[in-house]
Amino acid sequence: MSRTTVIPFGPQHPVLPEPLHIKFVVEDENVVQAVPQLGFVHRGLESLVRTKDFNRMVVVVERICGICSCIHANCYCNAIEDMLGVTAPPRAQFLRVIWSELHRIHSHLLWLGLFADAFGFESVFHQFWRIREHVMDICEATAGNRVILSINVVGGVRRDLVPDQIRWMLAQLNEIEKGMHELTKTMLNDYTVQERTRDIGVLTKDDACLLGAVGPTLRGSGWECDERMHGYAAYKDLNFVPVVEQDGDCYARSKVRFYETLHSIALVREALNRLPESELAVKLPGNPDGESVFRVEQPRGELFYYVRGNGTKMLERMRVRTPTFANIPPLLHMLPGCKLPDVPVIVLSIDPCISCTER
Amino acid sequence: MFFEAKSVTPETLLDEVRRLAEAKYRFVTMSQTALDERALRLYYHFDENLTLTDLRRACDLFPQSGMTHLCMEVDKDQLIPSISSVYFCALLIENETQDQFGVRFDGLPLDYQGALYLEGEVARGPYFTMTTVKRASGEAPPKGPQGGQQ
Repeated sequence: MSRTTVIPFGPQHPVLPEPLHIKFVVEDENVVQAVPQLGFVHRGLESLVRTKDFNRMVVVVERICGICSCIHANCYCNAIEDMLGVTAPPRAQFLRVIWSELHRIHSHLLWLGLFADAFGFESVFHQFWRIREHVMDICEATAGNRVILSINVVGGVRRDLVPDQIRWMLAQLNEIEKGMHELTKTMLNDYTVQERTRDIGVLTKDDACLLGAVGPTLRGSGWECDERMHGYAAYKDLNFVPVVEQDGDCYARSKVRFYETLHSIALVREALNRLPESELAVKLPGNPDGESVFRVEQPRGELFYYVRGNGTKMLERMRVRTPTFANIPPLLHMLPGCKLPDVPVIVLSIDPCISCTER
Repeated sequence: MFFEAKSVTPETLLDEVRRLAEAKYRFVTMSQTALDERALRLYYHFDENLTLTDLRRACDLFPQSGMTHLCMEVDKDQLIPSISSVYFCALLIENETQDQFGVRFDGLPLDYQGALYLEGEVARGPYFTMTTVKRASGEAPPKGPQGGQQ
């Protein structure tokens, strides 16, 4: 006869460095129910819009999440630019794509390392993080910071790239790509990796849609859905194709992220080679008035901003729906029925970012 | 993008949401705006993109297209029908709305009762931080926190 036990997972856990708590009801080794608890580090950043100038809010939204700070700022700036009726100049659009894709590359490399570490493959963890350092070096050399880049402003960007930097970045991208190719066989074909990830945490195509999954979690279940397909910033001018896998398990999601890293390298290279000449930012005509929504693709999936202005320097309301917030219901659907040792692998397979969720 | 939303009422919301679910729309999220001390405007955002294969053909004409929005204005005291029975994923955002705006949803499959972000047991120090609130002179202070946030 099986025995029912309640096991707390997090907010402090070796494989989950961020404060998410899930209460697991288990029968022997099988999970039968998972109940999440959030709010351990909730910061209330959304309400700051009522006290800060909309231009200064750019630096606040960047701090919602370190690992995709540039993409948060990109989405916020686009939403405000829509309300103001202005468009960032072409060079700024390309630069936004370059820095956003660099963030995607280093986020996916960080995740690939952590995922390998979750099933005990520490040497692969070190290799991915070693490659990631090249991206961090590029960020530091071009934006002055490794994590919070602060390159976006409403109406454009504040930094440019010079030809010497572009040549050096292209050489660094070759190194990153070479490192990724060396790890392809280990990460995707290794027996251990496949045993720990194949047919684990399966999310069917219909469930992924109904449960509101986003990003690699959605694309790993067979949906060709990526916000970059909308062509915001300079994506409409670049050769972007979404990476899609069909199986819906942890292996499919890791494969999506692995190939997206390679695709992002190609996108940065293409954007650097086709960087148009123009000014970096346009003058703003006034203060935002009205309501606007904007969506961009973060490394973890669709990022959604709703902003409401009233014609003053302070916005009236800002609402941020981060991808991890959307991927928690699919996670709660994947966990019941799994074995307890698979829990860390499944939880990590959605690439949870609690910093984003606790905005 | 500036967006247009279809108005619904608490009575017609669920029928409209069921129609979207049958058409395979993906629920994106809800946005909330307090209109005044008693009234709240809720937007329900849905994505119809999952059925399209190449959006780039349309993106020049319709940037950020592919979304459908429902708008509902409610009184903060009234029970709001939960759409979690149709879209299970709405339960987190509906619980968050309960936390942040003090409203109640009817029919939530998992109801944190205003404590998604802060359990009642941690509404005291050292985990809970009070912030200062500006009030007009003579205004009476509100009652102490009951597991919600100030």
